[in-house]
Amino acid sequence: MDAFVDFKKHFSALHDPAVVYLDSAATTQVPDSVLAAVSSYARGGRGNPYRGLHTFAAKATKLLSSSRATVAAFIGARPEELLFTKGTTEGLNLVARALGSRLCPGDQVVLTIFEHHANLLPWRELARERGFSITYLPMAKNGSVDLELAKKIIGSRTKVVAVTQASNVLGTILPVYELAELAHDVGALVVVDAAQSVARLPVDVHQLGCDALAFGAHKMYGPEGIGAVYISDHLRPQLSPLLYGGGMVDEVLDDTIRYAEDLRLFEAGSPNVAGAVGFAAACEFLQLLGLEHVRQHELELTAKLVRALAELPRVIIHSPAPELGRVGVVSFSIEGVHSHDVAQLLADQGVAIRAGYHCAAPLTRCLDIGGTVRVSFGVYNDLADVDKLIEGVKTVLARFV
Amino acid sequence: MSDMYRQQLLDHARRPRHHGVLAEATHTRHEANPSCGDVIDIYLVTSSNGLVEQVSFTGQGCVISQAATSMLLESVAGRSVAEVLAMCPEDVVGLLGIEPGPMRINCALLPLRALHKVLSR
Ligand SMILES: Cc1ncc(COP(=O)(O)O)c(C=O)c1O
Repeated sequence: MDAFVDFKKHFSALHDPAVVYLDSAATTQVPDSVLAAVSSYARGGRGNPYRGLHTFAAKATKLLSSSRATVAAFIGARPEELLFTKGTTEGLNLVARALGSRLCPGDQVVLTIFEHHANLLPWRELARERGFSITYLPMAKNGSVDLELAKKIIGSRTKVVAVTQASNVLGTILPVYELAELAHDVGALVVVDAAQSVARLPVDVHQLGCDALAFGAHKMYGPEGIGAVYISDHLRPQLSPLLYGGGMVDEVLDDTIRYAEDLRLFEAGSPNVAGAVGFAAACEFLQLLGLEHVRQHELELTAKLVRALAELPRVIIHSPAPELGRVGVVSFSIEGVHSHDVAQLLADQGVAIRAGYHCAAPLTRCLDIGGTVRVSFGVYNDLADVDKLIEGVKTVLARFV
Repeated sequence: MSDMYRQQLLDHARRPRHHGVLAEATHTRHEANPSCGDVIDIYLVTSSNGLVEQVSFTGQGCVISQAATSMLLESVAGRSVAEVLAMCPEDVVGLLGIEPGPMRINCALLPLRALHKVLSR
């Protein structure tokens, strides 16, 4: 835990000791190093990559390309396998659109009950258009998905398995590697929503064996408005652009258009260079810390939190037992108190957490919990933050007897 | 600490007035607030001369939404449909006696939205 002592000093937003920020699964705060990288790009002169021959444009082109290499390396990918998007949602939509629009009645897409709406609604919409079916891997008794059951469900009709690597509601780490093996055994493609995992676990796309993996910078200490999606060589030919416009063509003639044959095809419009620079800086920040250390730190905080919550009356913890594998995201409820009232009373004490359904309606419905209180850790949190949260929960319990 | 949970609100949330289903309702309306997951069903009986004669509701959700429904329905019982349609968000905030703020205003306005929709039909 030593590397994380006094760590808030790297985050201007957290200098005020009255601020207890425990909502990093929604968005993380940004370290000063990332802010500095972003502003240094703009101060040094902005340019529009691939467009223009002057110094600023050349520098922007170079920065975009080096940022792409850094972000790609962060997930074990090659630069030509990584597309910039505006976030996880766009990445998942792009992939779903590419794969889903080729499916027919009789085909099956397998999702899990844990999916965020970003990995659910695109498939639901396409299923309506195309007539394929969606099957959800349910939550098993142990709180994860049952691989034996998955083996029965994933079959010759299955064309895509799309799964979140870590639940944004419960923190459960899903067995993506095992599911990918099952999928590939039947020739299905594997799409991973890594929004909650990339800043919490070491992620390597080739080790995981996925065909696409989407994530966003703002949940990993980077800027808002930029994300990336890994696209395997195998999948790339099947992809079609979501947007058409500048920068994606080699030649536009009166009667024909020759589209770019590389990733520029999927990045029409002026690129978000500042975002890419900040994204790369965030990856470097995490790499410097070491994701194994980040993970250790989170597990320590999570263990203390769960232990302390378990001692309180009327508190029901929904997150899985530690053996199962979980990230630093914990959901709980207080009997007789609506989650938004808990959130409000905690906010009044300076404690920021998230309440409600967390854009994952199938899961909260299946748990029948009508919304949860969610605590999620970031690298800047410490044991004192856990103490303050627990104090806050105690005042809620006292207020709503 | 904010007075968002002042005693009167907690009391209305805990012991809502006019709670239950009105079998003879002339108007019913289901209204939901997706962010909080608050839901209410309101039941009204209006008279031929345009008065809201009876009111009731059932629902589930946060203190603000349930207390606001209880307080608002209590205040509209016996008033004319036209008067109720003329009510504005500020009236609800006035009834609650707190400033719900941008994040909770939707909880507070859930019952007014329901009333306006059902009575303007
Ligand atoms: C698991 C998961 N997937 C997808 C998303 C969507 O991310 P964004 O809204 O940044 O596109 C989120 C964010 O809330 C998430 O938690």
